[in-house]
Amino acid sequence: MFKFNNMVEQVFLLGLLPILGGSRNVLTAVIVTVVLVIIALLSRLISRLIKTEVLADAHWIFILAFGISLAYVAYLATAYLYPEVYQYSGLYILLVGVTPLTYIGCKDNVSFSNLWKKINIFFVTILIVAFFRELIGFGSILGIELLEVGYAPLSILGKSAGSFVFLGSLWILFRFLAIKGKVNLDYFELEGAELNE
Amino acid sequence: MSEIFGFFLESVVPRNMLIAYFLGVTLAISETEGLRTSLVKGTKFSLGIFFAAMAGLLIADILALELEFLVVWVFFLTAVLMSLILMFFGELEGDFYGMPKMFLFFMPVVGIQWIMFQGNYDFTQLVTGIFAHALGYYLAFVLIATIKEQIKISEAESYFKVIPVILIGLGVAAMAIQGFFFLY
Repeated sequence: MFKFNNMVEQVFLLGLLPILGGSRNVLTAVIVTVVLVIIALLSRLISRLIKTEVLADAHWIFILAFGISLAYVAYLATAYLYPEVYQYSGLYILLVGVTPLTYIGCKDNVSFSNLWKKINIFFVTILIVAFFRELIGFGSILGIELLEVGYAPLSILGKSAGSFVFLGSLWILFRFLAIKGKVNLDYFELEGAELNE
Repeated sequence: MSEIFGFFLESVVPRNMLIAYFLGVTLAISETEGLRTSLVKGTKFSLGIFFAAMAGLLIADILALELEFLVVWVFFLTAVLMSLILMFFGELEGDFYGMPKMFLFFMPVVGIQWIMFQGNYDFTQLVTGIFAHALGYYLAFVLIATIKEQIKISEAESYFKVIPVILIGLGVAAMAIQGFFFLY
């Protein structure tokens, strides 16, 4: 049986909450990704500065406390700069601070290029889900209305159902292409310590 | 229907913390195995969410207004404490795709605390709301375990198994429960 154990699945699972919650529209997706990138890079920097062997497993708590503080600042900044994004998706900006994907770069065995690849996968995924959710659920793209007066969008897909359905469909499509050999899975191979057997 | 009972039902079904807010999806996906084991695991996690949320919100309530910026840390620390208690009882051990499993518990706890905190509820509504959300989480947890068990024994193509179909199943469930919004 084909084994689906690769970096794309890892990003989907570890970043599931921001992908589902932060994909309300394209603008929200971009903001959530920017917050995730900033916290991921800064927490990686902090993790390289502290002595993890002294703190043992408690170093995660220390890094998470730092990360959630940054996420709170991002949450407040979003409330000031983008009130519409804050109103509907502020919670998910705050929760980027406790998302496992944000801290994957803090591990010693994860290289910077590997982290960057994961962030790119996250960005592309959230953007695709957000694009379809905004287009079909709200009938607009980047706030520009595409539907003429009298035509209603399929609003149920703009809510949580749309996130689940579009991400699930994207996931199946990726796996289908992988089985057919259209996607080179060597490029998305997991490193030893990340395998989830 | 009394106001508080309406609030309770609303928190269990249309505003279910897993299906409407996505909180704890990863935890449920990673921790569910068979349906029978999930009944016990789900109880542990739901009780964990309930007690952690209660503790965090009660502490947040006694904080002075000028210390309100500390609530996020309070919520986070109560989530850490509860995950340590769950680890003591044999849950959340090991890694999930290279990250400690305790991470997965932080998202639902901090998320539900923040939602309840933003609502500015009185004590009765707070207890009812948190209990309803924990109950809703338990139901969704068992639902995921059921879908997972059925998918594993089905003859579907391997690329459908298991998580993508769980997500689409949750999407269909979300469409169904959001139909109840007309009641409120």
